[in-house]
Amino acid sequence: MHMKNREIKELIEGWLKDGVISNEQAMRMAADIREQTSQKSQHKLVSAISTIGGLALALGFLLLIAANWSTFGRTVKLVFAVLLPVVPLLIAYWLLIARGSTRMYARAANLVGIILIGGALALIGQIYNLDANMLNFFGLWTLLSAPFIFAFRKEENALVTLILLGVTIFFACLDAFADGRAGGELLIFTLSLIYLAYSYLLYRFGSHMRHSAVWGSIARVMRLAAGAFGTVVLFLMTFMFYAESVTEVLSLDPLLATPLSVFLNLLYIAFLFFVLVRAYRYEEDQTAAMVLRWFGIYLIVKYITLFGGMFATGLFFVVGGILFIAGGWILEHKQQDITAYMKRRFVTSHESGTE
Amino acid sequence: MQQKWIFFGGIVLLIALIVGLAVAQERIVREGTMVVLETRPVDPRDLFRGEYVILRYEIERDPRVMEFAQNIPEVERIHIRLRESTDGIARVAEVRATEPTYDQSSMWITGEINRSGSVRFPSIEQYYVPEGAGRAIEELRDELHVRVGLRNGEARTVELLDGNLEVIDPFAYRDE
Repeated sequence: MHMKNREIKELIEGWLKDGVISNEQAMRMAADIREQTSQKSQHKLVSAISTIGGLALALGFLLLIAANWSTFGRTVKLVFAVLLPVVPLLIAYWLLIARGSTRMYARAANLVGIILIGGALALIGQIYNLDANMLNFFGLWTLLSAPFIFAFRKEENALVTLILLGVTIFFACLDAFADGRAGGELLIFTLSLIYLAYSYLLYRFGSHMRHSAVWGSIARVMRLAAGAFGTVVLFLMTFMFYAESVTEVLSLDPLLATPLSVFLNLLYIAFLFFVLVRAYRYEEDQTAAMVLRWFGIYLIVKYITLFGGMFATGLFFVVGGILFIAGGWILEHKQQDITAYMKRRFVTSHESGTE
Repeated sequence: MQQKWIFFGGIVLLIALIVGLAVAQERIVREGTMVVLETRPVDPRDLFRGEYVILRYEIERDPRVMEFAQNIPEVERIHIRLRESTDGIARVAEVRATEPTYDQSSMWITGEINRSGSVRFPSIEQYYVPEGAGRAIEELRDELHVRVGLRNGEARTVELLDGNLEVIDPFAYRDE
């Protein structure tokens, strides 16, 4: 179970007060926590710098391609296109698999290699002046990235490939409706259903592999991705334009758009609550934090869209300010009580085997 | 051990696909029949693939092509046989809906008919140029021609030509 440093310090103070540990032991524990925190911060800093460096390197290569390296002949460019992703992937293999390294630069090489697969495909397109078919581009990129999930077994491989797959799905739908006969409403409706199905499948796979020693971390990425995709899609479905698209596509009475929109808003709130409960049950603090952030964004957006036209500008900001300050005060003072209740209610249920 | 095999399998797939894509294009560019088409360009920018000129062709506006595309909307692809004129530029000789039998010297090009009834050639609609050269090349609009390789109806751009059908060096058109 992950505990924050503040919670550990409070525990130590409690033990000291109860006489469970001596003063010296308490001081030694506090010193060790400080040391660990410092190391963790450095590790996070190195991790962040390495990731930024990896992304900057990959982006730099892509922009160099975009600046058009026309000084080389086609054969040289083809060799470059092949080497572009292969070299960093070979470096990543040597470091991560052959040597078993867990260093950040090893993972950065992995990330650079996967991103440069897209660079290689773009370079081929540029060499032969091919048309920018986004479906083919992202589809091939996804296909070529996928084997490295199983080779490296790292979260970044899964995350990049899942995002690429999501983008491929988008362009596949766009392509399918390209002739415009079906209309934008059918595209919106179909896309939303497909993404919800995609999120569900990711969540099911992620839950199934939750306890796997080998795939557990990737399963977590899948569940987070499912949560993110599902949250974004359901959030977009809370807007009036979506309800109007559904009534148009299903040939329903246009007056049903409003109650449908209300239902979709309630569905979104129910979904967030479901994800929050699951997050507390499985003690996934990151997921719980993500849900609360999305709920906050939802409230802000809904306040703006619902009341933006109704109030005068000054009143709009005054009422909004009061509501959000009050909300912030409640969260700040009641957060611990709410968190403790959620954990008592749902973590206990999980541990006792009840769903 | 399993990870090793999966990794090298992935690398082999990656190299095979990249080389395979390149070989497919090279066959058209090296072994295809060369024709010169008259163009009319527009200049956009593709973030991930550099600066390029969008090309449109005079053969799209040939009366037989336009009539065919607008009168037979259920057809999505159009096959055009080209014939080289005395000025060296290829023009429309024949238009058909069904795929023809291709031979070594045939100058067939396949186009797509979009919803609005206009004909497009997506595979030769873009030509990547050095950064800063797109706008200047685009201004050659009335004089720009393209040498295109044709093979079994597929087309690939080979090089840009000026009004005298001389090869254009895109580097010469870059902004200083």
